[in-house]
Amino acid sequence: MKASLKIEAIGDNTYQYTKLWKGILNSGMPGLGDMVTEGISAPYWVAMIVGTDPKFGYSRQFLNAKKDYKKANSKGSRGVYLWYILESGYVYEVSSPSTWSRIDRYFCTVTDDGDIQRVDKDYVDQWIKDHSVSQLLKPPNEE
Amino acid sequence: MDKRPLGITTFEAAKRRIEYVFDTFPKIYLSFSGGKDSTVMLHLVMAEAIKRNKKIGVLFVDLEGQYKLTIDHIQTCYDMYAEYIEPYWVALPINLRNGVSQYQPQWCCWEHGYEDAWIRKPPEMAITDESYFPFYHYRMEFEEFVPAFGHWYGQGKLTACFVGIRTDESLNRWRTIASGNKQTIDGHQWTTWRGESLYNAYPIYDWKTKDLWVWQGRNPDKPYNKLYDRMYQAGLTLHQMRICQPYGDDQRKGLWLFHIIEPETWGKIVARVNGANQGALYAQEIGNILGVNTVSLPHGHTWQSFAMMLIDTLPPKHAEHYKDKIAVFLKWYQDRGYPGGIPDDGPLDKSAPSWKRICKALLRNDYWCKGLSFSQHKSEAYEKYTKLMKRRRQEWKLMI
Repeated sequence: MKASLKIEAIGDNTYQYTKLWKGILNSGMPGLGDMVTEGISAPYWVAMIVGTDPKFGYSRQFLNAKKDYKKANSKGSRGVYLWYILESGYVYEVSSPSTWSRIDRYFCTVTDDGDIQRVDKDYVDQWIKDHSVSQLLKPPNEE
Repeated sequence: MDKRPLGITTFEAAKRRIEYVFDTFPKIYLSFSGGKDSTVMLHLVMAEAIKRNKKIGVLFVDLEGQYKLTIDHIQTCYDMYAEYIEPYWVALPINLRNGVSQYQPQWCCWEHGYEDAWIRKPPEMAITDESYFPFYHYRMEFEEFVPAFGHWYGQGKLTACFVGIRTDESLNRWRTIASGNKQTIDGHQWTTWRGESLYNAYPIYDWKTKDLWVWQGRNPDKPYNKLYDRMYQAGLTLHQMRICQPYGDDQRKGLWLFHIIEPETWGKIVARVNGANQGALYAQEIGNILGVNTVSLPHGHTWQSFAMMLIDTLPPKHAEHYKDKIAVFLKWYQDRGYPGGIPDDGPLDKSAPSWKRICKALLRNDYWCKGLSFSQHKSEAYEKYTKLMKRRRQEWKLMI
């Protein structure tokens, strides 16, 4: 079973500009864009936990979202929503800004009824221990 | 996009798609019209629902002026699957396109104040309470109601809406499936994201008309709409047999059939729907009557003067509507290579602007001006739009 998760991409216009300039600068001088925009990254994302990582704690597979501008303001700074699809049998980490300065960060899974259920760090650690690497990775989509 | 055989029958492929939807989506409903496509789809989907002992929603938007045989068939299907469906038989005042009248370009089914003239009474099980759906507003457009229902039904959960369209039916339907721009779930081309948590699923998109009837023939216990028998008796080919609401811009061509198949209903429709009889008589004519195919210029006119004359013949409210659209059309081209105005004559396709195209839109009673590249507006925003356009037309000095 799958579930959809909605988060607001607050400040999306700024991050899109940053991304654009990073690309332009990198195409002019490889590495320049990365250097200039270092440390600037969008605070909204959803990732599947696929193991542990010595540097980041967990290794993550970041999910692609569907973007909905229907309720966006004219700048695109508020009201832009990202819709993610999560699937039961996996553990996810969510970073969702609730205001300009506050970010709600949590782990979650999907129940068999398609509901999203928050879980704690201990659950995630245990879940990783209980699963082999091949079980943690999502198989490629079959068309 | 090329056709890619899957190596299985269309029946097997549809079954697998339906299974996938049941495995994936916690909330499922089906959009039902009583036609041959949605009927076969209903039976296939219900077989899976019964197998899994799962209830699904079945939405039927009752448009009042429909064949009695269709209504009877829908009732039969609702009764047959009563145990496994959440029925949503909607009989609310909804705006529909009326392509056969300049005086009533939009027709409202179940309209307040016309109860005595209603073609029929809504069935007992129908939803007629306007406060039932929180998103509903009086005279909502049909095109707005359908997705709003899906979002409401899902209540935030991932939701699938089964839609029984087939690529063989029209180029537009083919594009709905084959479009490379749309977003899908898990890359399945037979699904379309409708915003938020709602996806459309088209499990029988690759079926041919013949496949549907073969399936019905092999499953004689599953009811089908007996209207098709009447259509067959009236001499229609398999591909001509369509039963959508008959006053739309494309559908009006089939109006002639109504009085042959169901004369008792037709009498009520003529009294209720402005222009229905005119449409039945002339919708198949080509030329200036309804702007079908070629249009010709009356003696002594330019296309521009002909267009202005046509606008003068319209009721004032609708004349203003067309003036707004034409002003935007003229302004668009004024800013893009035609500062002195668009040419009088030109091709009828969308390759170049001309007053001739405007005349065709007016003759066709093309209310949304789709022939001039406009799309349908939202009903709630229309009043604001007309006020804004009144001001803009003065500023632009166009169509005053």
